Amino acid sequence: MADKYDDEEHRNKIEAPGTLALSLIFLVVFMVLWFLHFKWLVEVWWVE
Amino acid sequence: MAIKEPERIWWKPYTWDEKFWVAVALLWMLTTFTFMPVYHFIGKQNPPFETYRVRNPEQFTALVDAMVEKYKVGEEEGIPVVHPEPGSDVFLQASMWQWYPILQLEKGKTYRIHVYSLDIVHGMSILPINMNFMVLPDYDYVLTLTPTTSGEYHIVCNEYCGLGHHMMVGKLYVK
Amino acid sequence: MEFRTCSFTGLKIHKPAEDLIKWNVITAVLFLTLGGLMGLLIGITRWPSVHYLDPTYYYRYLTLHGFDALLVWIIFFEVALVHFTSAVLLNTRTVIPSAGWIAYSLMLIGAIFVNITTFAGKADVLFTSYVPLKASGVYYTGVIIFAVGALTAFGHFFANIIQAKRDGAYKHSLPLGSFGMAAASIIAVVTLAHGAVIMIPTLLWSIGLIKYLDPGTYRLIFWGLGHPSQQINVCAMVAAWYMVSAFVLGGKPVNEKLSRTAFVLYIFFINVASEHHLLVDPIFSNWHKIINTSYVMHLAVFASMVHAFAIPASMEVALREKGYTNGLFEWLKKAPWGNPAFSGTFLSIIGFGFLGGTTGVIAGTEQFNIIRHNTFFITGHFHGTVVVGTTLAFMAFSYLLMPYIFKRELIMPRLASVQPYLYFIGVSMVSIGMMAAGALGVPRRHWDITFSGAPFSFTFDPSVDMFLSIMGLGTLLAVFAGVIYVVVIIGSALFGRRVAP
Repeated sequence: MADKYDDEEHRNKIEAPGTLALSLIFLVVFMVLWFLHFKWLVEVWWVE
Repeated sequence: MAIKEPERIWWKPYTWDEKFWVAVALLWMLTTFTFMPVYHFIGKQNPPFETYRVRNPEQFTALVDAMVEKYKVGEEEGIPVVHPEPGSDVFLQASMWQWYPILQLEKGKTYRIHVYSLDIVHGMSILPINMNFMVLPDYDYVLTLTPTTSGEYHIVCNEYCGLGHHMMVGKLYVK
Repeated sequence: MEFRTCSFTGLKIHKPAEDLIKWNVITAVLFLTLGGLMGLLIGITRWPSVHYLDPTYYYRYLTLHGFDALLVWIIFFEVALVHFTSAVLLNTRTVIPSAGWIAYSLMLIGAIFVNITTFAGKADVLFTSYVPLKASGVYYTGVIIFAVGALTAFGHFFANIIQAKRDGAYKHSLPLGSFGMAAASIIAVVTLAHGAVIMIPTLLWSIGLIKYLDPGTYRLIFWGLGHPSQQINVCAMVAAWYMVSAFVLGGKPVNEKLSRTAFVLYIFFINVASEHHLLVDPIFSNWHKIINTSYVMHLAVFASMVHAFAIPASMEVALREKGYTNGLFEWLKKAPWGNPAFSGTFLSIIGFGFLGGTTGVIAGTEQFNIIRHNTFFITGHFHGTVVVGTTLAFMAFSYLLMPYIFKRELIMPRLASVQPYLYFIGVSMVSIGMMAAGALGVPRRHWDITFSGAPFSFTFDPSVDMFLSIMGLGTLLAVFAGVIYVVVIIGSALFGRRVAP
């Protein structure tokens, strides 16, 4: 079994492009939510 | 397969998409992590941690009473309104189910607000700006705050403290 | 002969293991029913236009909802998974079945103690029972008995895999599903140790043998129990995701190394992260909090993101092998969406990630916590993790257990196949409604946000009413889907058509 995966071809293959796309959408949502919170934090804080 | 013992050699090399996702995920996690210590110094929007042990509740009550006596400017619903000296130490006492007294602060001045609970755990939620802190018995928690916006604020209890929990509402003025 | 061969999976199933799984699953579902009923009552109480219960019962049922739905349902189901992954999956036996029954009885007795005490009004302290709020000693005793039972049950996992190794049931490494439950069991032992450290003194304090308990220390150690116990759930849930992918689609992780490393990251890093509950507490320094909550927690979140990729990827690879290779998403369109085990699992992954995961990282950030702590946002967050995530994943897995373990077909398969969708939509509405209201300052654990009887009244942004109504409607939908689930599972277990041996 081992040699089956030992070639360069496997290393550079994308096995799950759809999942990768879904994951990247997830990451974008995550980042947007995070930065929204950052914005809200800066707005409300009682600081000089 | 997740339900069978893996083939003996299961440490096959990662594929491109795996490597990419692992790198991106790790990078984002390191960013959100690094944000905390970095912003700690740049933003100074940190939860306060200055805290003192209160061995005797009467001591704290005495401080509150002294402040009320010296700086009282009015009364609402039987609770004194206090206008302490700007930039000083002020005291706020939580108990079932009251915030005592009502503070009148000045905009742009920094206050050291000591919060303390006489009985059980309470939560201090300043609304509508939605800033939240825990108030514990036996600990004097010093919140160093500078109100930047003026107006009328409410302090709502947001940690369950018995049947009257929802009636525990106080006030805070910023002028 | 105590073994039979499962006609679906070819697994050799040990009779005592089968019985233990059955009883633990059924008990779990009964407590889910109770917890869900409480959820309905408190959910419609927080819906402003209904505002159903009076405060006494609101807080009482809130206590029970937390205990039954968060602890009892989930841990009983996890014990079923313990036996499934350490015996059934390895084609081997459960050692000392009597220990399994002792664990089961202790957990049941403990849970009944807590329920009766709380119903009797002797423990209106909410799930967290922060001292100096005091409940009857019976309540703490119940919690301790339950925890001892759970500890015994998770200990059973290790006894089983050691025996399995001796019997030659596996040669080198555990299957990934068992590996995940091994991680869960390790975390469980650490967690329940915290439980003993804090609950035993609290019991002694409540009956007057100890004069004083420090409220700050209680919160610290309680969350050493409370937070990591959610990590047991995460591990068990992820293990269930992997197993469903394998059973339903024949999916295998694209890379076992990656998935296993991610489980190890959970064990090392997730356990320490419990101080994010104490970010706005006095006592601990900021550095203490940053190191505890962020450094280690984000590596654990990283592990979740790895699983969140690896599991759908395993499904995608398996479906692509079946020939659905057009474009990016043909595999997704052609996936078995009518199979509740699959749809439940996939929705659980989506919901856990988008609703629970993102918001958890945000609310656990030192600075952001100040504008989120103890608001309804937090409640919304953990309904995203524990309900859309763990509960839905376990529901999906139990649809597989019906034929595999109970040897029964599902009654009402049509209804069962829509159940995960209804539940997902319902709880997502609950979660999103809570989070939106919380972001506007609505506190959690609060009977009346119109503050009736208070000296002063605060009026929330008018949109809060809408968000809380979304939550209320979501509650109704989720409870409706919950009823379908209970009827299908209990009905199938009792009256389902027997599967041919």
